Parts: sequence; C-alpha cells; structure tokens
Amino acid sequence: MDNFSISVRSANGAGIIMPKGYVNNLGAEGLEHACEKFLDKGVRKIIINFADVQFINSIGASIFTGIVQKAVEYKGLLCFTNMKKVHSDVFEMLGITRHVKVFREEKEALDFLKDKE
Amino acid sequence: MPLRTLPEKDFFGRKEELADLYRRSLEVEKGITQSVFLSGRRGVGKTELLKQLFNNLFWKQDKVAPFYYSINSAILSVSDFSRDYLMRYICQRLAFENKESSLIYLEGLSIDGLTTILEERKAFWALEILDVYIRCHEPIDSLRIALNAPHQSTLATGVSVVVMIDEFQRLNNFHISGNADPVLVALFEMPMSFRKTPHLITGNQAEIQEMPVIGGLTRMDVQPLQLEDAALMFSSLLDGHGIKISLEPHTLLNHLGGNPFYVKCVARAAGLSKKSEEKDCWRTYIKEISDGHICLYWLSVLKSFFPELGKRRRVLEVTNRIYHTGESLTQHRISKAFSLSERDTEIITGALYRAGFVSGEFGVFRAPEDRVLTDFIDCLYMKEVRGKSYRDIEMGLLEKAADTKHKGVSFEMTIPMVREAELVAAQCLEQIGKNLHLDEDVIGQLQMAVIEACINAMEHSKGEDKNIYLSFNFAEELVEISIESSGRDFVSQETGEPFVGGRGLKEDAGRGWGIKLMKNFADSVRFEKTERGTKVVLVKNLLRAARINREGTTSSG
Repeated sequence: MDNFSISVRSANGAGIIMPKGYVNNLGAEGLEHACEKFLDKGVRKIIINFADVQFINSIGASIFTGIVQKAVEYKGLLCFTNMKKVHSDVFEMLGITRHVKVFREEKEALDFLKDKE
Repeated sequence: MPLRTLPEKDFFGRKEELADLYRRSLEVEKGITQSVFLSGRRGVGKTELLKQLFNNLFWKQDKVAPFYYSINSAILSVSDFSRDYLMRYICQRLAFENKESSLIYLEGLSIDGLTTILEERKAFWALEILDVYIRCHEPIDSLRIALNAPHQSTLATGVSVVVMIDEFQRLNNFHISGNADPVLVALFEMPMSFRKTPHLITGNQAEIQEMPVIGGLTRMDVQPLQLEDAALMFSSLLDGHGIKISLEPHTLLNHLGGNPFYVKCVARAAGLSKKSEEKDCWRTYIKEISDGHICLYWLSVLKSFFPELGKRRRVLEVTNRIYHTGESLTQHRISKAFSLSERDTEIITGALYRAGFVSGEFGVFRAPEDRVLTDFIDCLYMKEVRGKSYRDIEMGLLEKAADTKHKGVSFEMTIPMVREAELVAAQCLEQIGKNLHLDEDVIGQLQMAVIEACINAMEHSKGEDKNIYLSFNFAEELVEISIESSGRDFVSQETGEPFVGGRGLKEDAGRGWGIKLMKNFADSVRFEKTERGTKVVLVKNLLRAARINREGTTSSG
C-alpha cells in the first residue's frame, strides 16, 4: 500500500487517526482496523482527520459504513475533520455524514468531545 | 388530456419540479401552501410545466381543483377580462368535478348558455357567483367578483383551488377605458393571499418581477435542462423524423444552454432537412437564428418592445455593444457612447431589460447567459447594421462554432491495468486542471469520476488488451473524458447501463456506488460499445459546475 499510510495518536481521551494518500479498499480496511483497536481498548471518542487524504474511491467509502456501524455498536462517537469538499460530498451521498459529526478542524472536534462522556 | 401538453415521454428533465409543485398543490388542504411566482428565462418550459401540473391535478386526485388561465392580450379591458376569467373558471371547475374535459374547451359560450349548463348540473354554488356577477355593473366590482370566484367556490364546496395564471405580465396593460392602468393588478393581492386558493403565476420574468404584486409571492426558479436531458430530448425529437444522431462532444447542445424551446426548434428544423451530422446541425442552427423559428420568435419580441422602426437600428447597436464590451455598462456610459440623452437611454435599456435581451435589474447592463440570443443579435446586427450577406454571416458563425469546438486542449494517455494505475490518470487530470486554471472542486469531482471509471474498466476487462485508453478534451466550457477498455460484458443491451455486482460482497455495494459517484460528479455519463470494447464518456459543464460550487460555498459559509 505505497499510496496509503496511517498514523494514530491520542489526545484528551480521544483517538485520532490520520490516514494519508489513497483510501481504496485496502486503505479503508486499515482505517477500520485502527478504529477497532481504539474501541477494543475502550477509547470511545474517535477522530478521523482527512487532511492528508488525497483520494477516496467508492469501495473505500463503502467500507466506512462498517466503521460507522462498529462505532455505534461500541456506543462510540465518531468525528470526521479536515475533509475536502469532494470527499464530504461522497460521504454525504452515501448517507455516512448522517451518523458522524463533521468538523472543519481537528481542534473543533476535540473541543466538542471534551465535554462528552 | 384536458390541456394540450407534451406526451410524458417527451417531457424531459422536469419530473422533480412537477412532483414538487404537485406535492405543494395537495398541501393546500392543510392551508400551508403559498402563492408562487414561477420564474425562468424565455423558452425554459414554464408554461409546459403549468399545463402538466394542471393535467396531473385534473386526473390524479379530486380534492384540489386546478384552474389554468393564460392572459390574452386581446382581452385586457377589465369588463372583458372579468367575464372571460369567471366563465373559464366556472367551466374548468365544473369539468374537474365531473371529469368532463370537454367543458374546458367551450368557446363562445354566452352567460345564458352557461346558466343553462349550471342548472342542468345543479351547480348551485356557481349559479350564485354568476348571479352576483350579472347584477353587478361596476367594472372594478365585476373584476373583484371574478378574481374571488375560486375562493367563493372553495367556501361553498370545501374543494380548494390552485389558480395558475400564465403570461401574467400582460396585466400591465389592464385598462377600464382604453388607457393602461397597471395599478389594477393590485386587485390580485387579496385572492392570492387566501390559503385555500394559492396562485401560481408565470410569464416574462423581467416584467413580472417589476410588478408590486410579486412582493407577496414565493419565488421558484425553473432551471434550464441538464445537458443529458437536453440530449435525450434532441435525439427523441429527431427519432420522430427517423433520424439517428450522435452529437460528440455535445458542443451544439451545450451551446443551446438546456433551453427546451431552442432544442425543439433546432431538432425540428434538422429533422425536416433530414440532416444528421453535427456540422449539418450547426448549419441548421445558423439558419434557425438567421431566419428560422428562433429568429422569428426573438424578432417578434424585439418588435413588440420597439414598435417604432426608426429606433430599432440604434437598439441593435446598443445591444451589440452591451454584449461585446466584456463588462457591465451603466446607463451613463451607454448614453455617452451613443450620444443619446439620458431619457432615451433609459427608454431603450429599460425595454431591452423587460424584453429579456439584457440583464440588469439595478441599471447596470450586461449580456444574459444565453448564447443563442447573443448569436441572434450578432446575426441581426451583421445583416441590418453592417449590411453583410447571409453567406458572410453563415461563414462567420460556422467559424465561431468550429472555434468553440476546437478551442482548448486535448490529452490522450494509455495506462496499464495494474494496481492503483487509476491514480496516474487522476494525478494527470489534476495537473491539466491546474494548467487550465479550473476550479479546484471541479478538478476533484472529475478525478473521483475518472478513478471510478478506471476501476470499472479494470474489473470488467476480459480482453487480452490490458490497457485503459483515456482521452481528455477541454473545450471552452465543456470537458469530455472518455475511458475505453477491452471490457466486453460491461453494458446491458436492454438498459444501456453497466452491469453491477456478482460477488455479493460489501465491495459490490461500493461498485454500485461507483456508478452513482460518476453520475453525481459528471453532468452526463454515457456507456458505449466500441470496436475496442467499452467506452465510458463523462461530460461536465465547467461553468455550471463552478457556479454550483460557488453557490454551495456561499450558502454553507
């Protein structure tokens, strides 16, 4: 997966995932795995920062429905930040944005999550 | 059909608007529907939309009665209008009640004749209204009775009414004793405010939006057809003449700007001349704007707003200047440029604006977004002011058309069907877009569509040729990208749509979405069988896309 990489970190009790490059099926599965790891560890607040995402294809986007379902199962709170317009259009079209909180900046998501249990 | 309309198969690209108006009409019962001003450029299809709505309301339900009235220039004295309006209302309302469409077409009916019909059908509510009208001798009071008839019938029968009035701007010439008195239109304000009798008015946008009565209405814009719908309409009309046509890359249709009136005129003329090549269609178009139906239409508009022969040459010069200066012109600049008095300039520009030849609601004038109208004016200017022959004009316009078609750049590339090769195409597209200064969001949308098309090509290619052939054509306002591969079993013969699925995995859902994404991010997506295999053609109107993205940004920010 030369065109895709992931970095993860934690801040203020939230798990932050930063995908980079091309989110296709493999990339999205990597993301799904990273989310699961946070949820398994009991981290319920997760931010996916899309700042370095270059492209998302439809298969990659469809795997996000699985990520959203998993977050719901674990009663987690999923936030998307720093999305390009075209990417938010894709998620909007697939009905994914209805189930996640979307913020312009990662900091706004962290502020929002600060008060959440 | 009660009102003569296009058959459903030829009513393209308006299903959503029609469904929305129909839904709003039925909400009348809840008392929440407001009167609406249906706005849009000339020829965009407002009248057809109203007539389709009338027919749907007439046949598909029995709770809300439709009333359609087109203002006739010959019936503008208050007395004549009141009588005609009232009698047509009663006839249409009765027709709706009994689903008896022949009543709508009763012409030359006398009041006695109508009374007899009403007595036979025991329509006492209508007899009462007619009786009050007959006993009234004051023109203004008669008009009030006529305009309030829908409301009175609702009170008496409980059936709400949607009143549709076409060519509403003609009421600016309403008169009692021969002199136009536009103030009389204010008598519509009360009937328009009743919750159970909302009015839907349309006509010439520029004139209607200057009428004070418009202040209380909700505005609803009828947009031009999308390129894909315009193409469907064009081929369907030509089909009627037994002509099959392939318009690539839709330059002529794009030029027509999604205006159904223009599409119909060119298709009809092309059909009659039995010409099917795109170059022939351009010639047909030039004939249309120089002495065909489009020319006659705009000429009649011009003449009705400028009846004095002596003024028309100057009007053409002013319009031509506004169209080709490249910036908006104030009245003062026009006065100076043509040595006209401020008063004369105001008369000319005001009439040009009301006629729809120029935009400029606030006195700064510019060309409207209508290339056909610009061509018509150019053509007329060349003929009448510059004295050019038809042949010269035709040559000039054909050169312009060729320029439109070939202006811009083309790129071709071949990528192998290897993992993530689609990114190479997407990255190239990004660089091309940057070089051509395209809107960033538009580039992003095209990249998404190209990525999906390439993935499709890889998934469906069964041939030995393991390459994908891409071509990017950027015309003036249009980009056409074709993605061709050796995929054989890609397109369904029945539907013309690609096959989706087969493996039953969640990835298959993604592929279905891939087609949706392509269709969402391009204005038109075609799937064609070619000698090599299958070609997906994505077409996007760059101006339209940039405008939508701008509006999206403005409204969200």
